[in-house]
Amino acid sequence: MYGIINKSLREMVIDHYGEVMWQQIMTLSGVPDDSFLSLKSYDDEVTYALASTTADVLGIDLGTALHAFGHHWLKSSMSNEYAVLMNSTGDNLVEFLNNLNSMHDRISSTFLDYRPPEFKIIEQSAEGVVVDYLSFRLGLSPFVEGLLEALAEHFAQPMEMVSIEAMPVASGTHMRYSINLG
Amino acid sequence: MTNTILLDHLYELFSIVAEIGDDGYVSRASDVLKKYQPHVADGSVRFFDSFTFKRPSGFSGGAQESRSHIGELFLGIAKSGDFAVRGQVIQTQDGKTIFLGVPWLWWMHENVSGVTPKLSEFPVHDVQMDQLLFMSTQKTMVDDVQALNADLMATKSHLERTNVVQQSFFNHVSHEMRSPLNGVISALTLISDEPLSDRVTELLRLASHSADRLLEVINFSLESAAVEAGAREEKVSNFDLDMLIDDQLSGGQPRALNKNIELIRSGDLEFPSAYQGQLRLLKQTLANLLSNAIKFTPVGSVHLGAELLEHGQQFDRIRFYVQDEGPGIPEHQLEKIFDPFATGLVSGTGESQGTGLGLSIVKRYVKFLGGEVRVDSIVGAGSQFSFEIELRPISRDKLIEAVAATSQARVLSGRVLLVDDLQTNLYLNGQLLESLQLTVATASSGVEAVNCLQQSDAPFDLILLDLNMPDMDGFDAARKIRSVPGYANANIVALSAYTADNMRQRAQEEQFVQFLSKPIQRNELIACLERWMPASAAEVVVPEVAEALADDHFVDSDYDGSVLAELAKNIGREKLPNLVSKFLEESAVQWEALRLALQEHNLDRVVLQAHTLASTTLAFGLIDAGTQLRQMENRALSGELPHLTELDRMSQTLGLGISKLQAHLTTLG
Repeated sequence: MYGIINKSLREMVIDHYGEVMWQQIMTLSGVPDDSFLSLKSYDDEVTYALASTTADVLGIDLGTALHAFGHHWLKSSMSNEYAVLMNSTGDNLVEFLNNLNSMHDRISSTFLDYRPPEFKIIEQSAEGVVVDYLSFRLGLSPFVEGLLEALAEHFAQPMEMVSIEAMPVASGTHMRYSINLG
Repeated sequence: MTNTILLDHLYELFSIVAEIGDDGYVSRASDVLKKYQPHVADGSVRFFDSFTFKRPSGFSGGAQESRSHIGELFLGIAKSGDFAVRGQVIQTQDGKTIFLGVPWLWWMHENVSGVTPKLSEFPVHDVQMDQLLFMSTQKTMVDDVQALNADLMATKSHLERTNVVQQSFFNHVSHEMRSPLNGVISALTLISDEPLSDRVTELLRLASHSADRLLEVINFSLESAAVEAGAREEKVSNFDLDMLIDDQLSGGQPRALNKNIELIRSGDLEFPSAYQGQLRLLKQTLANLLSNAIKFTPVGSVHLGAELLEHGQQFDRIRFYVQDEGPGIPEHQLEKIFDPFATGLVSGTGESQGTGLGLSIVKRYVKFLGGEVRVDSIVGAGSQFSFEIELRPISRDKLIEAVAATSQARVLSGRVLLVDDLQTNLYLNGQLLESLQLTVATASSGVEAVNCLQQSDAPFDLILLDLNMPDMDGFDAARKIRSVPGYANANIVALSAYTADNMRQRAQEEQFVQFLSKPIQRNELIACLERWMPASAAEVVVPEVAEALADDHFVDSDYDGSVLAELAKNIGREKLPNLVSKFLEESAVQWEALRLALQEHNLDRVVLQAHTLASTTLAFGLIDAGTQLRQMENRALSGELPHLTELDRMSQTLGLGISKLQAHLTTLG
C-alpha cells in the first residue's frame, strides 16, 4: 500500500489517542519507522502489522479497528488535498459509488503500483443499492464498511447496512453489501 | 481523418462539443456545454464571443478566424468568469466549424470556488483529473519531506544535547578516575622501593605498566574531549614558524639522544614571514607526530619539516611532515592507523605500542586546523606523516606576543612587598616570589607595611596585599599605603581566599589594580607579575620548573597531595619541612582562636578565623577540613552561630589530613 494509507492510520491514532500510544504501537508492531512518504509504495504487511497492533493496543478486535480506519480515511480524504478529486467523484452516495472505479482508474495512471479494489452497483432503486466489493486483498471488508458509512454521513444520506455477504471467490475478497437508503 | 468519424462519435470522445456556423452561433452542443454555458448552447450568444481566449496567441475570435488555428490549443475563459474550456477547432468536409474540448480543470480549480467539474464530465482519455491528483500528491509529498526534515532537525538537536551531557559525564568520570589512579601509581612506586621478592617485583612491574597505560588512556581521552569542545574557539596566536619548528626539535632532543637518534630539520629553513593561526593545536600535532616518530625509529634519524607550497593573498599554504626510519606500516593497515585504539600495527621496534590514541587525536587536531593528515609508508624503510594547512602570514613586527608563546621565556625583575598576617602565607608566597628571581620584603599587617615602605632605601615595584587581616583590613591598608610619599599610584594587588564576584569587583574598584585568589597559583602569579612589574634590562629569564611527578600525588578526599607536589616543584623540596612546620604551628594557634570565638559567640571572629583556617588548610591540600571550615565560615556570615561540638568533629578530619600531609612530606624528603 502507499504511504498515504499508513500516514492516515498514524494520524487517526494520534488524533484520538495521542503520540505516546502511537509510539507504543510502532514499538510493538516491529515496523522500524513511521516516516511514511505518501507516494512511496510500502509492503502491505506494514499496514496489516500497524492495524493489528493498533487493535491489540486499544483492546478491540481487528474488524472494529479497520472499520474505524475506513471511516477516518474517507473523512480525511474529503477534507485534505484530495478533496477536489473526491468531490468531483459524485454529489451523492450512489453517484460516488458509480464513479469510484473511474476515479481508481485515474489514480492508477499516477500511482503505478496501485492495485485498487473494484466496486459494482448490482442493483439500484429508490430504496437502496446492492454493491459488490472485489479485491485481491484479504480481510479489508470492515475497512470498506467504515468507508461506506462515512460516505453516507458526508452526503447526509441516511443509510442502513441490511446485509453483508461474503461471495464465493477463488482468491481475494468478494463481498456483497445490501444497503437501504432513506 | 475527421471526416471519416461520424459526428456523433465526437460527443463520446469530448465532453464539450460545439457545432458552430459561419455566423458564429452554435447549432448543436454537448450536455456539459449546455450545463455550464446554456446561453451559448442555445444559440443566444456566439460561441467565440462568450470566451476570452488566452490561446491561440493572437486569436481575436470568430468562426472564420478560428479555422486558421486548426491544430492549435484553445484556452478560453468564459466571460461570466465561472467556467473555462480547453480544446481545439476542426473543420468538417462540408465546411462546418466544430469546437472539441473539455472543461479547463486547473483554471477552474484555481479561480472558481464552489464549482467542481465532475469526473463524469471528462472523457476517460483526458488526463486533467490525473494531473490534479498528481499535483495534490506532490503537495503532500512536500509536506511529508518538510515534516521529515523537521523531525531530523529535532533529532539532531536532541542528539547534540545528549552528546554534550554524555561528554560532560565522561569528562567528569575521567577526572575522577585520574586522581585515585595517580594515588595507585604513587603507591606502586613507593612499594617498588621496598625490598621485594623477584616474583612480587615482576607483579609490581606489571601493575605499574598497566596503571601507566590506563593513565595514558585517561589523559588522551580528556585531551581529546577538550579538543572537541574547544577547538573551534581555539585562540589564534601570532608565531614564528621557524622558531616553532626549532622548539619542537629541541623538545624531542632528550629522548632522541637517549636512543641515539638524530633529529633533523628539513624543508624550508627560513620562512619569509611570521604567521597567525591556532598555535596550540599546531604545536601539539607536531609534538605528537615527532614523539611517535622517535618512538618507532630504532636507529637512524627523524626529519621534521615544513615547506611553503603556495603564497596567497590572504593565506599561505604550508605542508608539514615528520619522516621516521621506523619499520614502516603495511599498506593494508594504513587505513586503520588513525583509528582510535589502533595498536599493534607496527612491531619490531621494541617500543611499547601505547594506547593507540595518539594518531587518532592528531587526525582530529589536523582536521580542526583545516587539513587532513596522511601517511606514506614503505615497510622496512619508514613512514612519513604529513598535512597541509593554510596560515595567515603576518609581519614579523607583530611577533612580540608570539615570542612569548613559542619560547616561554619571561623577563622579570624588581622588588615586591608581600603583606599577610599569616606567617605561613608570607613564607610560602615569599619563596614563590624569590624563586622567580624577585627581591621580596614581607609585612604581617598594614601598619608594618607602611613602616616598611617608609624605611626602605629602594622603592617597591609591586605590593601584594591580603584583604583579610585582623586589625586593619586590606582596603584600609591600601589607603594608608597610598598616603606614603611615592606610592600614591602604586601597583597594589589584592589577595584573598574570597573569590566571590562582588569581592573581586570591589577590590578592583577600590585601591587595587588586580585581584588574585588564594592559594596563589604560580602561573597566575607570573601573569600578574608580567603585567605590573617593569621589564628588566638584564633580561632575567624565569626558570622553568619541572612537571610535578605523578608519583608525588597522594590523593583522596581528606588530602590532595598534588598541592604539596606543586609546592615542591615551585619552591624546592628542601624548603617544604620548614613550610609545613610553620603551617602546623600557625594552624594550631588559629584553631584555638576559632574555639575561643565560638565559646564567646563572637560571630565576626568566627568568620575571620574560619576563613583564615580554611584558606591555609586548603593551601596544603587538606580538602575535607578546608571545605568544612569554609561551610562554617559561610554559615557564620549568614548570621548562624555554629555549635562548638562541630569543631570537635572537625578536629578529627583535620587531624587525619595532617597525618597524611606529614606522611607525604616524609616521602618527599
